[in-house]
Amino acid sequence: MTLVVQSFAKRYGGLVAVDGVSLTLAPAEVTAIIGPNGAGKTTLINLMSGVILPDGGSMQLFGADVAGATPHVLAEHGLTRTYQSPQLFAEMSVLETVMVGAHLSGRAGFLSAMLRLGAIRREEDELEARARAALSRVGLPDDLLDRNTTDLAYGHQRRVEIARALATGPKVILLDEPAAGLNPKETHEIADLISDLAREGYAVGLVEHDMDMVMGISQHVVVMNFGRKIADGTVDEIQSDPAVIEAYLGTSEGEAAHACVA
Amino acid sequence: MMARSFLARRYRSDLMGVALLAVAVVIGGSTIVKSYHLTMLIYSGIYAIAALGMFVLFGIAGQISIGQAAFFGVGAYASALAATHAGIPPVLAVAGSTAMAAAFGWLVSRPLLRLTTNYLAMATLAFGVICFILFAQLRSLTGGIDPGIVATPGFSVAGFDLSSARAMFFVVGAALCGTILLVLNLVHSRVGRALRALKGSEVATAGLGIDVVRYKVAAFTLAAGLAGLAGALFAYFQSAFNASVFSVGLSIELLLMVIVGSVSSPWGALFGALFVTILPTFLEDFEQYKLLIYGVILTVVMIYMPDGFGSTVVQLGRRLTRRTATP
Amino acid sequence: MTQLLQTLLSGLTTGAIYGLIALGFTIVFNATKVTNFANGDFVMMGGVVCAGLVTLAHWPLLLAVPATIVGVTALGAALDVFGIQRARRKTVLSLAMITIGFSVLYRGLMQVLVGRDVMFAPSFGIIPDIRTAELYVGSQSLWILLALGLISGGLSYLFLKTRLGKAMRAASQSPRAAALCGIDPRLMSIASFAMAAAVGAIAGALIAPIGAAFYDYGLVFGLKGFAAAVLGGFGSPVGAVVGGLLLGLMESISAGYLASAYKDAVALAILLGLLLVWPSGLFGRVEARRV
Repeated sequence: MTLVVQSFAKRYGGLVAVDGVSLTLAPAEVTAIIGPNGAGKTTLINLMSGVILPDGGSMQLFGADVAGATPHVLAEHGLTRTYQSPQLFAEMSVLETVMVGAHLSGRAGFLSAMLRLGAIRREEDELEARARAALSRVGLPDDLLDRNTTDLAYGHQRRVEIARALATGPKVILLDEPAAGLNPKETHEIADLISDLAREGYAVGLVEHDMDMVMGISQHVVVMNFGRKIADGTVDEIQSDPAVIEAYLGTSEGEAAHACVA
Repeated sequence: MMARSFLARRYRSDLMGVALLAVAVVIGGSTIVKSYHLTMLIYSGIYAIAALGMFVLFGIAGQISIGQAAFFGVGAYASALAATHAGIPPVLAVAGSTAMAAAFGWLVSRPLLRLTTNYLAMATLAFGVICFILFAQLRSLTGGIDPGIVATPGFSVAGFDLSSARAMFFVVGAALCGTILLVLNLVHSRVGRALRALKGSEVATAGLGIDVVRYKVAAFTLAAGLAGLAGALFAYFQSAFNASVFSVGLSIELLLMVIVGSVSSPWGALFGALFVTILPTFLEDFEQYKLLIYGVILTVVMIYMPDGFGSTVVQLGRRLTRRTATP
Repeated sequence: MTQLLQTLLSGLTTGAIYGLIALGFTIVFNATKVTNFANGDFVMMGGVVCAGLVTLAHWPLLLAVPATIVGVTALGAALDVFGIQRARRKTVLSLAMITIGFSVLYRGLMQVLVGRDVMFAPSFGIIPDIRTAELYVGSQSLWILLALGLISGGLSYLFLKTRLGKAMRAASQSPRAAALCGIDPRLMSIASFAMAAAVGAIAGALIAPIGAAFYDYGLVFGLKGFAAAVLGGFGSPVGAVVGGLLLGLMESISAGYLASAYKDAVALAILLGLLLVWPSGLFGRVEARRV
């Protein structure tokens, strides 16, 4: 297994946001993490990506114990993510933004960069080629590469973020609500992109509210409610699971409200 | 391999800028007659070097420091003492002082950079005031406020006396060209992009495999080193100075230079340093109104042009040309 | 023993001033989440304007003090109306930079209006000195301690009992919810800056007879007040007062062991130490975050 999470726990004061959740991500599979609002999905993805520290539990990435590792160490191990609201860099062009994603494949340090020693030019060319490849992989039009990321349309921003994640050369990609704020056509395109990525061998973790999308592209679904995992299985198994139906029916209004905000 | 893109073009035009600056230094140094003008430009150049450090830290990496005067002071005192007491050759003294200021910066940056935004600003401010108190009180070393450092020997290279204003103009001009070249190289590199990224979003930057703390520390160290270099050149040019130079006022002026110029282009720091240095010459009785004017500039720019005055003007220009280019 | 007691008493006096400055930071931060770098300059202006009115314009103190409070309060409100509210970008850092700009501006303004001389204002009088065989507590010190008591009592009444105070607390806890309840966040913001300025002005007018008034004193006042606020736990009004008194005590005790020139450095070193090691302070909430 690529990524194995065992009984992760996170408490905020008296509130247990994530309560002993275990799950695995496998290569060439989309694993969706779903659940009603406030179920702890975002906390879980933040724990898995090292943004917050777990209070308990363990995580193995390709057999290495990485619970409590910082995000940059996880990225070096091949795990990267995108964010619910795109975390793009203000005042930076699309191409450069994705080149930051390719950072790990370069080696220039402060001094050699300032003195522009020997191999830097070639390295810059390589980083740029890598970034361009990632950008064309997600289908971003070429004429947008010199624009500031923050000037782009929302759908394009989402693609830039995925390209930036791909440029790190990951094996595991965690996507936090990649379809939030997209129109139906864009949602459809992102869904296609995600299932293509899984087909290419990436292990994809997907937190998403759009149930059509989740059921359409996931091989494996983990359902959370009140911080606990209540179900885990294939799409068919999940759709007929009484606990899941209960959880969703019980909060359908909350879901609808969330959908209108998103 | 694909043809290199707009990034290579931007880098080339920045290099052209450095070449133009070098030409301007040569022409200016050989044609400017009034020593007063030379002096003003030398001070602008010295402050520009420190402001470039501030640009790396604040403009690129988005980390604030209101204590840069401390590193400027370390550079100035180290080179003055090395020249007067140890008889170390000036070039070595300048290099050593730069390294010493950088090392000092590295040392304090590790704890300080655990803080962010307001707390970092307040902590660097407190650090700057503490250093100022030490500069003023360690009189056996610094001479304090009175008499201060009385006479630093003039600058020279390999026995050639370069202490005249004209010679110092070339020395400072060369140092400035070198510094801006280094900073431009940094901006157009993997490291510079990582710094700009962490200014935008630390979490996202770390998520791409970038050790955010290490990069922030390096930026702080570089900024301290450049402030030290500026301080060392200042000591050689000014020869006699006292601790009052290195008060919080200087730190705020350096911040002002970056803000007046641009938080996104190193050329802004040059413009800002020139502006802040020559501003007094346009006003009689400037000392009386200095703080009021600085305060108004800082406030107005920060309220209406948070990317810097220079940047805003350039952006406006770009928007206008784009509009006319695509009807 | 009496020596020590005397030291502690003088520590409490300066500590009371630090407490008042720390209250200014707290009021503004709680209402707006802005760290006001010009807060120390409110105190500076309180001293300079008051001393200027008395010594240069020959106003009676009874008129000069209220005039100072009104004037500085207006200048504080101006920082919010013309600075904070008009900011194009409202990030923590750019708002702080605006207050830094105003801090420089206030200093420049005082320099132009009142001058660059160190000034002394007359003591308030009325309250007699306390003088026993071993102890001496000056009248002005008693004024300062009295002011701290009245102001902190008044503020806690305001925040706990009055509509305005409750609205300010609500606005700080959830600006959106407060706005839905008809509380204008802009009004709360102006009120907080005006209150901090008024408190600062009183502190400044009180300390000027003992410590002198000078256009450049705001920086150190601000840093020490901030140190007091952090010591007490940033954002806690009780912490601000306790932190201020403690800082004053620590400063006066250490003064016995150090050359007086390093007195200011002590409080600043305490500030640095606190920020790095104990940022939550006495009454602060611990914020766990990871970078």
